[in-house]
Amino acid sequence: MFRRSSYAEVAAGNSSQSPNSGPIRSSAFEQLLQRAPPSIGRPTPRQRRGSRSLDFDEQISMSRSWGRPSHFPPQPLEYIHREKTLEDDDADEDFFVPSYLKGSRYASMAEKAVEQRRAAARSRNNLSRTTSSASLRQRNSGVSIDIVERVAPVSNDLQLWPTRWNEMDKNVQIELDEDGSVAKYAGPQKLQEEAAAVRANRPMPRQAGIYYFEVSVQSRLKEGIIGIGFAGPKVVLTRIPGWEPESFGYHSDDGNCFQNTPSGKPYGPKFKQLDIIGCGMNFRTNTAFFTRNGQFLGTAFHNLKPDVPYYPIVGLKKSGESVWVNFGQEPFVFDIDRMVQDEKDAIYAQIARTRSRNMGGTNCEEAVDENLLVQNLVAQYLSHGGYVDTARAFQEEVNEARVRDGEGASEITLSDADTADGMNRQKIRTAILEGDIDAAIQLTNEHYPTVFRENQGIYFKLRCRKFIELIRRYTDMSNNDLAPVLTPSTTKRSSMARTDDNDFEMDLDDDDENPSPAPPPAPPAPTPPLTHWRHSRPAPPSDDEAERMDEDGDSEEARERQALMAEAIQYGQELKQEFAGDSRKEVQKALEDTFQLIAYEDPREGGCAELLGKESRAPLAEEVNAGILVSMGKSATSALLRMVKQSEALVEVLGEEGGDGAFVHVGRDFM
Amino acid sequence: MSSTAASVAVGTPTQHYFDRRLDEIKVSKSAINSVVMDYLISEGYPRAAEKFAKEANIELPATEESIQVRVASRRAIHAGDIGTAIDLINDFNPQLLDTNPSLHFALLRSQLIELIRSCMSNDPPNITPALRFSQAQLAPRAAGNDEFLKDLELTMTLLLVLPSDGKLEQRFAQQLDPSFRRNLANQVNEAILESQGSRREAKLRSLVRLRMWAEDRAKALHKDLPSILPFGLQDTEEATNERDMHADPLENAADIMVM
Repeated sequence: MFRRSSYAEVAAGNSSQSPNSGPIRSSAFEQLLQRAPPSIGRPTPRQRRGSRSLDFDEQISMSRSWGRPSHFPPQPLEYIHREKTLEDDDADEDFFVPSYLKGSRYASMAEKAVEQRRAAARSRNNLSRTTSSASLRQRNSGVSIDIVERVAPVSNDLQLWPTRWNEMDKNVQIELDEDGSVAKYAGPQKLQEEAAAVRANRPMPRQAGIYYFEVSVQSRLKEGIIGIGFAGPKVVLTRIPGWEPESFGYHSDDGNCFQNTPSGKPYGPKFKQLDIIGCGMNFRTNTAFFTRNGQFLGTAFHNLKPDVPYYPIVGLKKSGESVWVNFGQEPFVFDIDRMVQDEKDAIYAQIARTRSRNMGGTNCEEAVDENLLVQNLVAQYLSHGGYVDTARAFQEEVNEARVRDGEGASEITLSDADTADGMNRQKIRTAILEGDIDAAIQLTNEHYPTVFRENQGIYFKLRCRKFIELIRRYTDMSNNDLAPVLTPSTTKRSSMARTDDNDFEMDLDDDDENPSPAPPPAPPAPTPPLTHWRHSRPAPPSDDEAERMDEDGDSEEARERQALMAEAIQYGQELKQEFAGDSRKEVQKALEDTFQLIAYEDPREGGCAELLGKESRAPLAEEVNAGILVSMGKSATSALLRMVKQSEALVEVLGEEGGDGAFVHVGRDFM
Repeated sequence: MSSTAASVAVGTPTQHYFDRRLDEIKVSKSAINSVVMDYLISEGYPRAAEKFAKEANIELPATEESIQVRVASRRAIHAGDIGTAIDLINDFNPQLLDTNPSLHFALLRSQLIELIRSCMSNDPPNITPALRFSQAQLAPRAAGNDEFLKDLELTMTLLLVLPSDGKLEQRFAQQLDPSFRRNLANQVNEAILESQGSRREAKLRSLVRLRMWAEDRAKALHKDLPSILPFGLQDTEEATNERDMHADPLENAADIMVM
């Protein structure tokens, strides 16, 4: 192990040769420069790596921009190891959620992001080196990029919380142990006034709203000082936290807290061995506090800068001193959960009070009657979505109470045209949800002739869906050999008559439908055989089918299946023919995905199996509904949906810098 | 409920970054449906809820027993029949009003307003029943409570200002506005729900408040937002605003008095 070997070297007094020590010990010249903050406190990757020789440095920088060249000499083990500690993918392996963040929007986004990254890491292993150096560059270039990231967050770039002390961001005298949770002053003390500090691997995330960690003092020596707090990325690591600009700390020797200067102010008690010191920052108020053994010590710092990434930091003064940090992987001693909950409760109470102010009419611009507003939102949603019966019942129930209210029935009215339109859209929706795509296409053409012309994509998707439904029926039939639930087609209800039937179960017996609905663009030309396509099909309906038929001993059913397959194939050919000239990538990709279904004996095992599920009908039904609405000059989004989206987006905006929004979880608490 | 204006809001030529952001947010249909269902159940629209369960293919939640009384008392309050509403509530839960004095007072005050309304529509106006009711029912309750007292004074002043030809001041007119009854009906609904151990209010209401709160906060913090964030309810919103803001209160009051 890399860390162990370096520990041995340090213990043997060879620390200046330790690969761990980076540029600081590499030359006498650099030692002289030690007091220049940037090069010491936070060596750039180039410096860190270039500690061996200049040539090497050049090669590294080349490899950083172009990936590791194949002719590159094998790396020393430590080197590779060291690079790995900077990889987020690697860090995600010990992912945990601190108790006080559980259930927050930030935590659920982080969980999602980690899950995505893990999936991505599995699929690309060789590329990971390039990305890691990219993220490395980004992180080291400092504050400005962090701000840009906050303005336009992508869930993949989501900043996670600290998980351990940073092997790459510590004073040379500091030795880390237990996966970076123990920091120990291990080297010999050089200068009387010099201390040794280490920063966490990530800054305290503002999105958390409140961030908190605890440090337990394992060993403190007489005349030693332990300082716990936080600091910006560029603060030198040779001082106890709090003595330098952008550095804040609570000190064990005098109990004072220090803010940017070597002179502290009285704050809390002194602390000693076995004490547990907590440090928390409230990004909403830009204040920070400490706790000692579970006791809140009060606000220590005010007016913290909102644009500096503050890293948890600990500074030790005497060789032999050590601390253990808990970034939330273990339960906390202080009841931070309570504090976060109180903060959240206060904000939620504020939200709940919003009503009275808006309804009080003090501000005429915003004076909206909440009762009417919610009523209208619901009414518009129902009519927009084509829930005709519901819309009508709702209207009646609202108006029942209205008649003598002096308002008449003017509030919610469905005109006859609206009602008819809603019923048509409902029929189309029902047809799609039942898998009766022909009926859906026909109905749409009949009532909304412009939709397909204006929105070819919808037409194309419906056509593809029809193919999927054919395969689906075929598959269900095959499945039937094992579990016979299929009743022969005794009931021949027309697809139109079924539209107000609310049973969305798939009907298996409607093979009497018209196989080729009149599509609005040119009707499909006579289809030439598609050899390529046919070859890729493992189960042609000829010999194999005949064999299976014999095996099954149920020729009636086998014939039906065969006919179904033949229909599917013919339809597929037509479909392919019709859209062959369409050069759009997404169209061809969708065709490919759709046709892929036929390549499997049991399509449910294929890569596009989810297309077969009934669940995939609903999004299509919504898309068609939206397309129709747009064609009539209405909005594709209901007001209610837009309002929810606006809320979510606004809360995101408010939460980015750790403001009120950080404590609000729309999906969990408001829906 | 057609709104041609809505489509304009969706695709303005230079899209604001916030609008792009909206497009990226995905909200599941079933989540919205459950918010709507929750609203129908908790605000007492049982028939619509039943239809919606069918049409949206979702399960009809077990309606707790209070829904009938909530529907009936809402109807009574909207119709101005406050006495019936009070009886309904008392029949359902005799303790409810005892333990909720401010709701009880609001109901009685509303009853007084209706009484004043009908007194004044007589020709010539006869204010005796209103005075008597006020002295018997409201005055004793208001005695120890400044807020109640203020509300009562406001209501009693109606006796003086109503016959006048001029415009009613906003604070007087408010009491005669339909929204006054709606708010009362909502308070009753919430109180009954709460007494049943259910959540007090529909999720949709807290969503609406969250939306308003978030916009207010974001604007207060000078976040980069489009100047207006329409819901796409334009036609109805405008209509509502028009009624609430520009409608002549006297006209409004007169309408009500006719009935």
